[in-house]
Amino acid sequence: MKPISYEKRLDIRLGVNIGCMILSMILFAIVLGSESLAFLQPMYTGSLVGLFFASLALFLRNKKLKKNPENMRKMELLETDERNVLILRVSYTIFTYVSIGILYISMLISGFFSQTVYYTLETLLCADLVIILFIRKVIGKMY
Amino acid sequence: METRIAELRRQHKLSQEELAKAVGVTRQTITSLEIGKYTASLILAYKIAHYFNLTIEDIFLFDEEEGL
Repeated sequence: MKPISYEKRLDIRLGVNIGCMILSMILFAIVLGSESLAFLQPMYTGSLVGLFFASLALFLRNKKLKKNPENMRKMELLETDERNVLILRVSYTIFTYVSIGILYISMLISGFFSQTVYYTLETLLCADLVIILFIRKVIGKMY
Repeated sequence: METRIAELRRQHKLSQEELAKAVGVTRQTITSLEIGKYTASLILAYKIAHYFNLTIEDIFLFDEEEGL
């Protein structure tokens, strides 16, 4: 894979940050205007406001980083340091397997109480496994 | 993996921070390499060897049993 410069990566992140802010505002407007979502409004409101402010904070941080080459170099070193990358990869792998384990146990337990929840979790588990296999295949072709 | 990084660093009167900066990693990575907790990638091993004007084998002491 061709590596891209850190500055270019920051530009992409800034774009994603702006995209997330716009998306959260659009979804927030839809939620406010929809009566069928009224019962979940507090949850939607909370998560969308959270998404907006998290994106805004990251946008400001990335913008500030771009203006200061010294800090940008430090951050690049932290993100590209091979030991840090390894730690991140191992953590994500463990997190993925633990999440699947929790999902599986939740599915088994939910079977005692609700068939709907059981089938929902079973579908999620199957989707997760299919996605993992797909990602493995794609990544395998890259290296 | 055992390495001679700490020894070479002392010979060249370098701090971990300085060496880290020269080879493009964090100070923590140099610490982990020195105490043998982390094994460097081929690229990093090459950069360190190149920095000290030595070969990779001169710095990284490969233990046959450890590699099995």
